[in-house]
Amino acid sequence: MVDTVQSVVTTVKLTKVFRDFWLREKVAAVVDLDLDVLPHEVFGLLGPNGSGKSTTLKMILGLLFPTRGRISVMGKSPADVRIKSRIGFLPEESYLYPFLDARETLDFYGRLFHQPRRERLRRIDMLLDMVGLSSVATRRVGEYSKGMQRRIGLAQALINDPDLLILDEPTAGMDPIGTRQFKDLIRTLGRRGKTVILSSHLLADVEDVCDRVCILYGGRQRASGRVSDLLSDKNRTRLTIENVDAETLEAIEQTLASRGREILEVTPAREKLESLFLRIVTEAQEQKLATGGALVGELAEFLRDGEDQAAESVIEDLVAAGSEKKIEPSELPPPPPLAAPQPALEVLQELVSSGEAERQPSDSTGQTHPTERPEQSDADRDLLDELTRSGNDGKEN
Amino acid sequence: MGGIWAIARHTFFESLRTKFAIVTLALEILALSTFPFILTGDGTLAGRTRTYLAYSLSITTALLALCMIFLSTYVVASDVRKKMIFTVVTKPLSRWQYILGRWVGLVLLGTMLVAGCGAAIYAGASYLHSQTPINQKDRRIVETEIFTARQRVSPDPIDIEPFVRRRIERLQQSGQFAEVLEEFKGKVGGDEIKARDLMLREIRKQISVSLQSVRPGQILVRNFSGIHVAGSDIRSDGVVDARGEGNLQFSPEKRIRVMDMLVRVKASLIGRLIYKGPVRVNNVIGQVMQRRSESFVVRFFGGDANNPAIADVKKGDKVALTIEPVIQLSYKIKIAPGQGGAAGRVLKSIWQLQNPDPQRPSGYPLPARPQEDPVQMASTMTVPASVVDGRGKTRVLYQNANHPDFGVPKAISVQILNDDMSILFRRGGFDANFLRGLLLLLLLLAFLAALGVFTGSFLSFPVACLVCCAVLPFGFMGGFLSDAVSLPSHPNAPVDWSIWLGHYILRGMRVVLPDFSSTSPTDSLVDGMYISWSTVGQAALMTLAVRAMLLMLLAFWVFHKRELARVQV
Repeated sequence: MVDTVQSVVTTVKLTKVFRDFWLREKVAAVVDLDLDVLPHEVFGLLGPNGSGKSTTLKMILGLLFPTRGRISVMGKSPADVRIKSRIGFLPEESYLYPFLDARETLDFYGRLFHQPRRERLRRIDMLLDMVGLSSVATRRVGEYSKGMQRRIGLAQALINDPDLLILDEPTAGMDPIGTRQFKDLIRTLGRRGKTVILSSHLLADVEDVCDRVCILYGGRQRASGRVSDLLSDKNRTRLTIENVDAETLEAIEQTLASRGREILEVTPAREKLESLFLRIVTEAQEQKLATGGALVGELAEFLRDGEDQAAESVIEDLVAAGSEKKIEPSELPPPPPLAAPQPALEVLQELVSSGEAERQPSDSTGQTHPTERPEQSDADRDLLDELTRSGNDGKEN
Repeated sequence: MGGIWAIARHTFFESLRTKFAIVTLALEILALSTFPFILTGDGTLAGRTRTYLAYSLSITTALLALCMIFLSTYVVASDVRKKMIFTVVTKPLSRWQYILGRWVGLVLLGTMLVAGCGAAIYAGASYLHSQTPINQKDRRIVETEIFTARQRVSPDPIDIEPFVRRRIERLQQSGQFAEVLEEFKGKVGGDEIKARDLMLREIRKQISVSLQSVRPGQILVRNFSGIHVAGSDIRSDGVVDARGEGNLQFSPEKRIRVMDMLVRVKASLIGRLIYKGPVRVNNVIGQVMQRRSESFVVRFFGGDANNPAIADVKKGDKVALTIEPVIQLSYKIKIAPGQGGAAGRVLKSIWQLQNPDPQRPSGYPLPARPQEDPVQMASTMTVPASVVDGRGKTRVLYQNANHPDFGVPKAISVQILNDDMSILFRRGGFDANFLRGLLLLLLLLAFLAALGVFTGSFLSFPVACLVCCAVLPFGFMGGFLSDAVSLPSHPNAPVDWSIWLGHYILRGMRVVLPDFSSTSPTDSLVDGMYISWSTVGQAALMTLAVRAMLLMLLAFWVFHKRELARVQV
């Protein structure tokens, strides 16, 4: 376990048992969970439905009380009101007041942070732009689609420019564009030093944005570690080649065979459905076709590319406008070296439908460890050079 | 504080947006606007006005109470059930601040509802006030018993201890004391101390009853104090008008020196005049001889008719009027036990009110003559406030005229209990009284809001609503129910366990719940009774500062201790 002083959120032996009316134990939702969420990281809680993700988040937020164990959020109890000015929370559904419009909704939540009126209105405008709801800001939230409600829910979670953002199933009910925006935004916030905890059972979301994950099943922690470490497959290499013909492919195959390597699969490259969808919608927006839904242009443009200046300025504005005390990067200790990752690839194989992670060697305790990333051998480098050359030759031919 | 205000503001607008409060208010105002036209009462203007005020205030109280119960139980319970609470309590807002903010918002909403309904009721009452009464008595009742704020004082308590001592002395002198004491000992199981207490209580009771009984021809005297009539007089202007054919009439007989003049005034002033009561015109005292709908005739006695302030008045001139205020004697006469039934009978009485100030021994009416009073029915007599001296005291004399000397064939003894006799005097105006009445209504709503928020903090909306609706009748009928299951006063009397249990449960509930019936403004406003600031203050202290705050503290504790999310695995 990592030193708790440096963690934004720490749980020790966290257990939540739900009881029935007669106080009989009904179900153990979380059992002996040890978590450490470090500053500036995007941390994912992964697990199938009913695995205890939301329960854990609710205990971190003080909405549920632990049966046993301890929780520390920014060094304090979750019940401490002072830390809540630095937390943003998006529940699994947006749970907004349906009779308020988007602007009133954000105004209400802004008031709870005691924000001065001018500052509050400025942030509301920026957030509405950011989530693409400026044009429908006067419509009641109850009339919004689920995806639009998620957007306004996200905006309310960001109204205080939180240091810790807790997102429960953030992309549930969102269209691919919204999902993409969400993921871009989370990445951007992570880069900007925010700590993000998100729970999801959508593995692609977690894989795309999280630095570290914890996989839960039956309320127990099954695996945790860096995503890159958990998913890396050291024994395979993928080449992507443009416009390769059969002759070149054969030459590559021969070259590899001469080196004792075998091509396992050759498939023509396909455009991803997500890319196709985004392209079509972007074209429609450029043609200014009418829609009553959320506009995606600005958010997609601003946040899809983290280096985009416009997006930078929106985030910068939000950060600079913060009246609450923020954790300055300089105030925080550097992230400590991570504990040895513990990938439970058999769990991953169950949960992650894409990819076929191979089983890693287990130690005597039954825990699995990823093999050390080997240095790229000279032989392999030569092979790649040769392949590249032969590919180019083939092309020229 | 900012968080509490944010929640309060949100609650207020939430209640408006959900349309429940608005629809309630709209229906209420619609109903109230029709009442002045459809409620007829007993046909008199006073009856119409009283019926209107009674119905409108009762319905408003009931409707707003139910509205407040629904809203107060809904706002917290629905936040928890629909999980909106997740996004609220995860903000820098303590749970007690959330609860308090909800309550403040509901009180704000209650203020708006009370103000809206109050304005509608006031408009209807003003409309009725402007209507023409069926006669002058009707107008007088409207002015002096409805559109006013009267305070009631009971007779000064009678010191019965000298009578008790004399009775005991007589018993001792006659040698009966020991015998009577033995009799009481038998009733309390031989305990002498208890027997003496019981005997003393019985003697006091007997003397008290005898002091409130009046034999035929006997005179009953009661003193009243603490009568401070608002404003020593009512000042206004009147226009001297033509009388009869248009001539201002003087009596030409200098010897009699009587002059009548017709003075036209506002109808409300007419209602405050007593027929043949005193009035001052340009500071010259005269007597009202005749009243019409908008004018009255004043007669001046002695040399006052030649006073230039009167003699120089011409038709069309404005005169300064000073009308002495009135007080009312309210009483109920019963026939003493053992003299037949009371149904349909009338009794002959002679009443006289005296100013106890030796310098101003004025009485009213003078000379006293027998009048007829119904048996066991409340009667009211209006008299000028001049019978009250500068210290706020007056004396009431009642002579039982049910005697052959007064032409009644059969002598009848009567009883006038102290509780059945009171003096009512004008303490203030209707408008301010109405406002204080609305404040009492608002206090009731504030308490119900606290009750609703408390129950909603741990129960679901329908259950919390049901609990509040079940509690409401106890608040309104607590006194009645408490009397119904009160324990017998006799210490050794057998008590059924269910009565005992009911008595103490109701006593406990009366401690927790305010007595809505005693703080309800309806009865006071219908009868034109003064609602004092001390009543409002006391209600604010007990209903708001103690009981409502107790509920709020319980709500804080419950909400702090409970988990706001539920299991979903």
